[in-house]
Amino acid sequence: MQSLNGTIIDATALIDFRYLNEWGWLQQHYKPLYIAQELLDSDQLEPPTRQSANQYLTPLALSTEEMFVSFLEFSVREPLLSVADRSTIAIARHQLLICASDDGLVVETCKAYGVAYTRTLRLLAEMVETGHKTVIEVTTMADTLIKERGKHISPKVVADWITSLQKYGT
Amino acid sequence: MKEIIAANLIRYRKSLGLSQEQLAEQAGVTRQSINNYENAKTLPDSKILSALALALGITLDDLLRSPGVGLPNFRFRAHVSFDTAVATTRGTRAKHCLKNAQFAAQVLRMLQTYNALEQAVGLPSYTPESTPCHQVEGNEKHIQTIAGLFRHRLGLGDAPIVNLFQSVEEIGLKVLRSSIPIKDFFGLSACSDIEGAFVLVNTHNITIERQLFTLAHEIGHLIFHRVEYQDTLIEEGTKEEEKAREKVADYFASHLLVPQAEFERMYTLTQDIVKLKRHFRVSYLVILYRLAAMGIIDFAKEKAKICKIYKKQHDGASLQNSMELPPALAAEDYPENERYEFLIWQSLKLDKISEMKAAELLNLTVEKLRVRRQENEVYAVA
Repeated sequence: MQSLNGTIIDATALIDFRYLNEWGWLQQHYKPLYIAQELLDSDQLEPPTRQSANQYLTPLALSTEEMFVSFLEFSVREPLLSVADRSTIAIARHQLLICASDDGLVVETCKAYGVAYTRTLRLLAEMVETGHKTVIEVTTMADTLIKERGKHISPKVVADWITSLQKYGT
Repeated sequence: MKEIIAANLIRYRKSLGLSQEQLAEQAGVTRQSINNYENAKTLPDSKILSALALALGITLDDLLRSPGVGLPNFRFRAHVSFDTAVATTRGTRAKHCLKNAQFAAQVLRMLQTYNALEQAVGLPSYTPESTPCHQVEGNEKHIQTIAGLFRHRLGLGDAPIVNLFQSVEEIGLKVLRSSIPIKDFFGLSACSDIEGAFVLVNTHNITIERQLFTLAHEIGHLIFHRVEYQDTLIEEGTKEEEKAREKVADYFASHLLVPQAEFERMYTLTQDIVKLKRHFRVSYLVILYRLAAMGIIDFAKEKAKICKIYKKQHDGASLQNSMELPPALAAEDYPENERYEFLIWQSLKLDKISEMKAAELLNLTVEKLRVRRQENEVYAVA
């Protein structure tokens, strides 16, 4: 599971993991865990989410010419990505990190630039795979994120994911 | 990159009249560091650049971009000085230069975002048809006809316009209402052949009546003065020509909001200025100008009379030019930026905008955005 030089978490994954409170598992399998400085400094996170980020993630800033060039390039290609999103992807691209995101546009940009990425449902499935959770537990966790925390995942994606979990039994 | 950052730092710092030392203090770095960045000796990281951008009132992108690169190809008009160091406002309608690089960058960002939202949702852009007119005298009927045609384009007859913001947004005109604390700045318009027309209306301590008039006035410029739109926000024009153009835009705005025939008809029913302004949903000043233009009143005398009565009725308080004679239109009846917000939610639905960006544009946290999105889905019929 773990590869490259670590993992950088975007806003969507950060919020999901704050609610799931599964930082221990994430550290174990995806460390070191990073966050873009621009995300940490943004006004678009609730204080408890920022607190989680400060506690579990190491901030990284754009620091090389190549990173800045990518950061600008993403804004031309996808002007509806935020500064924090572009910073996250640029850092992932040039520091060879996995980008943990559950945002459709962030993931599409990762794909377009060959940046490794992972999504929340995939991480939940890996919790089952590693014996950390049962299928029922992760299904409940996903359900809670969707119903109680307003996480948006299309019903078809959820249905396909639940089907894919069948290989692990219950 | 170091050279671009250096040039931008100097440009934006000087635009605010800051010394290297003052900027260093505000951004929490040393003066020597600023000097190094401005001489392209070292490349600061994004944390430092963000602190510098914040101190300069711009964004990280503004520091990294070559001027004009990657931004929409719009042409602008505006009517106020943003050079706060020079207090030269000579009447609210006078044309001045836009010298504030920070504000120019802010407007370009707004435009870029609005365009991107339109494209994401697949909505066509709109530009009103252009017909040049540079002075009111001798063109009164022509301007009135164009105002009538524009009302027709909005699907309206001679009746009062319930909400001009909504009406023009329905035909695809990009309008943004934003609180911009710049004295005597009411609005500006921009236009591009490909990306359509855009009007920015300032809401900062400005009455709804005045905001509506600004919108109508800018539409007037978009129709009559398209060729004068400049490539940048910084422009100069001869004062007499510009005054004449302002009068054209004002005349158009007045007749768009208050069609002459309907005004004359209503005037036969009531001569009460308050009733007339309520009927047409305009400022009392518009009504006074129109009555003066018809030779019915002396504008200055009537205004002085109204101000005197107001003072008497309001314990000596003056009716300032920035105020509206009660009853004023209520802000809650004119919700801001409905089309813009609709485009954001639609883009989100289509996965064409990130949650983080949508939250930023809607001034929400991502957590709150998720809850709002869930609520929206519950209330959606289809």
